[in-house]
Amino acid sequence: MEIVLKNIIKKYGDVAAVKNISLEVKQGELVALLGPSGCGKTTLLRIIAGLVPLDSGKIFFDGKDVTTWSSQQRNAAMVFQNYALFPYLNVEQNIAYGLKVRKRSKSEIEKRVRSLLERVALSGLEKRDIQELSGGQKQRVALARALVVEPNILLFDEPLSNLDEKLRVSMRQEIRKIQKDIGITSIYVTHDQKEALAIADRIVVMNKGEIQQIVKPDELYYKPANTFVASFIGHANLIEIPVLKDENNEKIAKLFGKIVKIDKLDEEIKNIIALLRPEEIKLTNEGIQAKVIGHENLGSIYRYKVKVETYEIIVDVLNRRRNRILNIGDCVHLDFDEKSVHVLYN
Amino acid sequence: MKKNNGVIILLYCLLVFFIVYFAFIPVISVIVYGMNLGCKIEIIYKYIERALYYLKNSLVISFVVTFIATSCGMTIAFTLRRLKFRGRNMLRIFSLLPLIHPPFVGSIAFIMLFGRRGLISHQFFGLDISPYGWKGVVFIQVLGLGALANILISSVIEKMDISLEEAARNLGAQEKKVFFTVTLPMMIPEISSTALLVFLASMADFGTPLIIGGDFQTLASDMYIQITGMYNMQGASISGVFLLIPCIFAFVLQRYYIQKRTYFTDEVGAKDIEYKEIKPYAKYLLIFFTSLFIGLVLLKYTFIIIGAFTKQWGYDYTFTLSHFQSILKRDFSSFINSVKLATYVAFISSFIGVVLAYILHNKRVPMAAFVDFMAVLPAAVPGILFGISYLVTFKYPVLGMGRWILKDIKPLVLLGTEIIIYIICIARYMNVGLRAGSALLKHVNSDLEKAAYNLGASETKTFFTVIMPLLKDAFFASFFKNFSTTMTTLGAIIFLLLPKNKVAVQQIFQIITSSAMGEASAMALLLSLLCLIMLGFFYVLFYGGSLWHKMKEGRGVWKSY
Repeated sequence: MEIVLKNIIKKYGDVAAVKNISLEVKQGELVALLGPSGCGKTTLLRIIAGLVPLDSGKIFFDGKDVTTWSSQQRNAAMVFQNYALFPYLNVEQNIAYGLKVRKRSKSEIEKRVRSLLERVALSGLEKRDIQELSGGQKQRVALARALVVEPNILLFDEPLSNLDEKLRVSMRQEIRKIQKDIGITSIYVTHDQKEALAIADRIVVMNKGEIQQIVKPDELYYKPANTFVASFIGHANLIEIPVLKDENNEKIAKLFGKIVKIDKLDEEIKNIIALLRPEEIKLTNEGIQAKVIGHENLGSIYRYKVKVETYEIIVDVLNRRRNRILNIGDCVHLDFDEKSVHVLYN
Repeated sequence: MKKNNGVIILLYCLLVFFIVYFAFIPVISVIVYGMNLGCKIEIIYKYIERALYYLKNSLVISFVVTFIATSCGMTIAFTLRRLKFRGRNMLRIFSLLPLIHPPFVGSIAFIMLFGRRGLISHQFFGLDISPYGWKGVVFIQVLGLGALANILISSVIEKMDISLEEAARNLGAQEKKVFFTVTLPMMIPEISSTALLVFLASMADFGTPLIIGGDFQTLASDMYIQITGMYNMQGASISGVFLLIPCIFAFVLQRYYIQKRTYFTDEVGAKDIEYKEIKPYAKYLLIFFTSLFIGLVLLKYTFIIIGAFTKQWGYDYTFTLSHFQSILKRDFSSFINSVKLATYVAFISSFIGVVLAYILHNKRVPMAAFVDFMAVLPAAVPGILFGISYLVTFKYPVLGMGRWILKDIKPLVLLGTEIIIYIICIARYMNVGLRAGSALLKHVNSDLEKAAYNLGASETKTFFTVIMPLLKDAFFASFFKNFSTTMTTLGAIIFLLLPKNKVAVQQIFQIITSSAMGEASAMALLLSLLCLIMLGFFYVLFYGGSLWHKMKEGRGVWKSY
């Protein structure tokens, strides 16, 4: 099912939680809503689920206006952050709930529940009480409970945030696999950029109730739309430099002596912000002079903080055994490919 | 596991001794005494026959009242919490009125309306039918206990985790389905504990049937009649056994089977839910019902206020202060005794309660579950029966054993002293502190105490610097509740009072039975007022420091602007 959101606005009192958001999600696509807490992503998800009424705007499912439909009518099943499993029902009864309220036949319920238990790898735990399950198992039950009603859309509200790191990684792979198998249109809210990058077809970065960028995971890292996205995703050296003109009267900028091209022809731009990712910088024997002012061992990489001119720059170096470890106060030389510099205008 | 130090063990032993001797043994001995076949079998048979007759009345009344009052409480609670309408906030505030509950307020108002010179029965309609009887008892109990049920259930609705309801809605369940498959099942533990409270209160209520029951009496009120009218301890004890069985049964069923399944999480993002899709006629019906119920409750209070300020109900409605004057002309000793009793009892019972909660929870002591059971048992025992059990137990020295062994010692070891009413109230109300403390400690990280040990604090020091501040709120909550209960309830102490330590609530009861409604109203009002003033005083005493601090801070902020 295809989802179209048009100019969605939601206010809590005077505070706008969602400011005029429009978005299209294609059939079978998994779109991640990514942003810091309080950015409006969960509110937007709940609006789509029909659990939160919107102030203005329209929602279309496959071209049908569903704005005034209740949550019951929308058939957009949600996986809740705290699982929201019914504690007085066992695993099987929890999963069957959606079918029971739809008054499906007993044999059908049994069949569907069994096949879903298999799909989420919980066979054998049918009669368990919810309290006896681990966090990961609870999440699987919640997923199965949402899937059993054959929803048009699957909505995830930070489904993995209560799990530990290892489990998170394996669960998100599982979720992605099941989602692709079924081919169900999904919206996935998370504040974890790794999760969004790993799972989504497209990522919608949100901040303060507004969409900052809609982008494919591969492009997000290297082509952020603005400084917020650049610094929210991964680590970023953001260096503000003045705009100059070369001999052909074309606009350029110089980053540590290297020429950076500017595409925007706007006359008014006086300064640009150059984005240089820490791993794009190499430590060399000659080149830009720098001084080490801090270092941090992060396992697979070694992160140095160095001073170049008046700027503090982060440099990531792969933590290979043969690499020499630098100390604070050491003088080093840096080099980078000018093509790896991404230019931002705000 | 760290070994308990001597102080804790000693304290535990003392507490266990107190609980066994003053809470558990009396209940056991009234059963033993009741079943003691010392007299002729025909007489026993007669007693049992009488008890069974009244038991039937009690059970019918209690079941009906429990069902109606709990349903009313739920209906009102949901209407006031989940429907939006004008005047809702006002109704919410009025619905809290029963927290200040003048003793016998329902019965007094009832007599004023339906009594021989009552407004409805005499003044306006001149009806000749007498509403005295079981209908009146049910009506008064429903009005009083339904309002209480609303308060209890409202607080549960506010604590509910609404994401489960959202999940159900999201899975396609219609509103009605959501209510019956999610909302209600989630609330069953709390609804059942409310129903239990209503059931026990209804079973234990002897005042209402005595005052307005007419020919219709219940087991509890009949026990009162047996003791005061004929001083028939044996008969009363047998009745007591029959009264106790359903109470204990309901108590154990609720506490150990239904309550076990409590689902409330710590992190509750409770938000207001509004039932928007409800049909208008249903909505207005609910609002009408709620307003009617709360209106009746208000009416009750209005009547005793009017009654307190008019000359003679039914004859002369001119304004007067004479009731208050005649009360104030007498000595205040009954009011002073009430305050004294309530203060000591509230303090000691709450302290014992929270300390016991701490020991049972955080220390590994033997028989913790059984001690807990013994300590909360008095909550299930109707007050009047608990009083009779004290009569039975302490009539002779050494738990009544002295009857055979120490024939020469006069029965004055505890009975007939002032101290016994203090002891019975403490034994009866310590479960409040115990439950408040346990509920609190369940949510406290168990490592907290270990953290203090780890930082070098001794066990005693830890108790006073870490545990006490935590338990403070449980203690205060229990203090306030026990204070007002002791001030305004009569059941347990009625047979143990002496002329020299009479309390106000007992006097009110006597005045009502002699039909002086004006004076009874005035005195009930005064007692409630006094209770409120004292609660306010204690509130300032307990929280005054932090209140003062906040005010000063507030002023500082104010100045800086």
